[in-house]
Amino acid sequence: MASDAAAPALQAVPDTGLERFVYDDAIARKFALATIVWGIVGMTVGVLIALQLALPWFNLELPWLTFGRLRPLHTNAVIFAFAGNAIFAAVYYSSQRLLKARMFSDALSNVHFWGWQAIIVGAAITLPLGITQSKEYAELEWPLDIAIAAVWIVFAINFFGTVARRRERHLYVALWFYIATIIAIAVLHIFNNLVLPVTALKSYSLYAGVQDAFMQWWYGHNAVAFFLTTPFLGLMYYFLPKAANRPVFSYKLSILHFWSLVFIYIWAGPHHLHYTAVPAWLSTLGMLFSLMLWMPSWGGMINGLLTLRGAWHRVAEDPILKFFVVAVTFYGMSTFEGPVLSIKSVNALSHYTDWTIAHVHAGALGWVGFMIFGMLYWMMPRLLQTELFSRRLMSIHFWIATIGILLYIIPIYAAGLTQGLMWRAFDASGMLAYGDFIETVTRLLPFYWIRVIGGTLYLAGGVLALVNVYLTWRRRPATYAENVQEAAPLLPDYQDPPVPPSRLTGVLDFAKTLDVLGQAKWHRRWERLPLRFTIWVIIAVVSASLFEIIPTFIIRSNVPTIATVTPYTPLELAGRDLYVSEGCYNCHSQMIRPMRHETERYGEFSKAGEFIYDRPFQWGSRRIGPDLHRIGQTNSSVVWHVRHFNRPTDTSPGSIMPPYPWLLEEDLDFAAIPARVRAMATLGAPYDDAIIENAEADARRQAAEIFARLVGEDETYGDSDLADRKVVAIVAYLLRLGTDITKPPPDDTGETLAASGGTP
Amino acid sequence: MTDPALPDDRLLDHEYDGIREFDNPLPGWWVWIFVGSILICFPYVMWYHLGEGSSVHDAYEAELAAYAEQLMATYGELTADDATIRSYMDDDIAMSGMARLFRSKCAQCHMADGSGNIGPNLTDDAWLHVTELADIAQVVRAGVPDKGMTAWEGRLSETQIVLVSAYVAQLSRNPIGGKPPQGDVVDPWPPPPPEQP
Repeated sequence: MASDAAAPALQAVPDTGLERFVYDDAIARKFALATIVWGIVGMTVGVLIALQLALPWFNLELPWLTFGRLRPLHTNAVIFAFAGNAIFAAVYYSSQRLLKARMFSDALSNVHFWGWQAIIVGAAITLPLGITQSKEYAELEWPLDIAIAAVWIVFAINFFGTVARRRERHLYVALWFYIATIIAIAVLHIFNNLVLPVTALKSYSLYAGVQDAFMQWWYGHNAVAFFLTTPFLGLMYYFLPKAANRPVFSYKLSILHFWSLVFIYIWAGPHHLHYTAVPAWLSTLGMLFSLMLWMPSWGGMINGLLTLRGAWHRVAEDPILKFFVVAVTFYGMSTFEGPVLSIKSVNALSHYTDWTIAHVHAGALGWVGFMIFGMLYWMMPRLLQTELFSRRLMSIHFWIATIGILLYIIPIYAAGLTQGLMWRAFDASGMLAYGDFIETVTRLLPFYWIRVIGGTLYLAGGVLALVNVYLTWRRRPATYAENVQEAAPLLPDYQDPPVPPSRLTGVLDFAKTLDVLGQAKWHRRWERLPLRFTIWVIIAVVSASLFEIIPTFIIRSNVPTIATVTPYTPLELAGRDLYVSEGCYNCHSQMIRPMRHETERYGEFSKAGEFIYDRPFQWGSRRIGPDLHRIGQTNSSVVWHVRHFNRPTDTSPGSIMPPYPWLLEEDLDFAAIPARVRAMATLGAPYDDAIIENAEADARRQAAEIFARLVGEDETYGDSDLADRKVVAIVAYLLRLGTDITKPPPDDTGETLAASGGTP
Repeated sequence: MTDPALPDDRLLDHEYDGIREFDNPLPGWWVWIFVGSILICFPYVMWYHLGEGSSVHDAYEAELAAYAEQLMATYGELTADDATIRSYMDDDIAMSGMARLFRSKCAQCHMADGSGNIGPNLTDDAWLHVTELADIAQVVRAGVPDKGMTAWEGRLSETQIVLVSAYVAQLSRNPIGGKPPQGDVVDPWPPPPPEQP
């Protein structure tokens, strides 16, 4: 299975017993190049959507360029394409050297590379087309999810195969973090994306409402943990000591912060769901484990920064070390801010605001981005076997990107605080001081413009990196030199060195035992037993997950039943799918928190039992527009919705929502509705056979009713043919939203929107 | 690794691709903050889940009760008759609060200045479904489902409905062009009740 190219060199040298081999740097070159290219794509989309918020004109009235569809493209591109390729470049470059072995299989390496790029292209096509699961950072539909799982398994086989063939007996700390990444991402990805496919490009989540929200944020938070933290800590442990030419500050700190991070991170997800309809115990667990996570995170920061002891004069001269120092500093700031934001009362202010956006961008631009650029500038000349084209360009990149980060995050922190405080402000008479939501948005526009400038500067830095790497690539040798390595194979009969006795005297035996344990020799033994090490990682990740997942799913009182909550009608379901497809959740929450300023603004707070037919849940995480959970109670005008979709500023002056004229122009696919109703019935929604069979006719009937209401409200619509258009379905859904809770208790069956008239 | 500025800490004997590690102990402050962050969980759970600490819902109920008390202390319990509504039309404090409520609930269709858009212009003297002040309260309460007007009963308290009706009624003192009049012109609202001493 080992590469053919390396095979001839793999013979033992008779005299010394050493084996000769060559590292596969071609694969690291490919991933590194893909990192820069996709990084620029992802950041360009980021600048575009930042512009769209500052000036909605940039939505260009094209369906595939609206904010709701492009924001997932931005997040997926920067996380999975930019950071993802960087992780793979780092893993392929450093693991071979840390294990003294060529990758297990060049073929698998290339399947991994091309498979991953194909998935990225798939994402770049499907997301703008509105093909989405609508779960944040897990938007890709089920065929792409299967492809991701397959490529990930290829990666895992290739990685662990290399571990098995290593010539270095013990695993270095960077590899521990890579192992944790591979294991945890596989678990998170598979279990959050369990769906029932309806068509080739549409599925419904196996989880509904509260449970779907829990699974999503278990995934979402740990995607941050195991895609944007652990692999980057791993690459920090390799590239930072290499670039600084310094020993790592503390091996013991590595051990403790690794295991505490891996075990504790998993619990913290529910801090994304404070004050929502999740049970209180879950919210508390999320907060407390987030607080506990502070020091395990800072263990990584300390080990990074203190590795530079005595080398600070070099930081002043070397832009690569500057990138690393700023990155690790941002890591420290973000991992302090994270626990602070997880405190319920702080979260009450920050949640749904730009504060969260500022927080993630401090982490993404500062920590992840700067680690990547520092790594690339260190690694590229070595991979291309020449000098970097320009140190000066690299230095300019560092400075404009640093200014870019500050111009991004400072105004967005200010925007988050401003809007959070405006939302909760009451006047002396107890009325909302800023009852009109749009007031709280237009106030932010100056901040949004500054963000555009900051983001553009950061992007410009990325372009400089691309230029610099391209010009370096042009200087590469005609053929890359094959640097043959020599190392002895591992012999099977290895004995661990004896554990030294305790150095303590005059204490109890118990204290001596603790002292010996504190020497971490037991851990040293694990480091040469990768299978055992990996099993312990699995136990840490899975046990921590199950402690939260099992009670969430089996305790019935977590989701108290509400008798008047009934499934969506076929037309409403079709409308809901449109809502999902357009990515409305990117700007609108459907989760009113129990706080008077929220209930005063949006209506009664949201109850767990109201979401039992919501697949996927649509609670959202950021209110760029108002919450919509009770929109059916607080706005029952069909004309309003139709005119608002067509041109939001028509009904709402100052609105920054993009226009959706195509909803009034495109026909609704009534024929596709029965399959969707049937799928929901399979998942447990109480639709009987008659409803499924008549789903299309029922949808047409309800569409005619909505249209009749529209004409009743404004007869000028009488000549329009909106009855068959998509807008009718999405309006039916909005009129239904949040109304079940105030309906009279069920006394007749088949209660529909028509029966209730849309209003209680 | 022969840097003169290298700290004089004990190095471990292993080495990976040239990377070595110090045998430094865990920083004391790191250990103690970590231990503290674990220990703080116990009193937190004891207080908020097993003890007297107020839950999210308790805190919300308290917030609602405080506002209800404030409303009661200021206005008592109001009933939506002509005289009561009329009496608040000139109450500047009440009306400034209702201007905010109007913006948050009614402006979506009637515009912030009441000049009408989806819903009718409320600043002229033509009215639909209204001939006297109490009718305004009834429209707010029950809505006009056929025409898309939302029913606010249950989402606004009766006292708030009286006050916002008074606010709507006094809008016609400053007519704004906006949407052309709809419905029938009604008689001017009655004069204010005599001053209470």
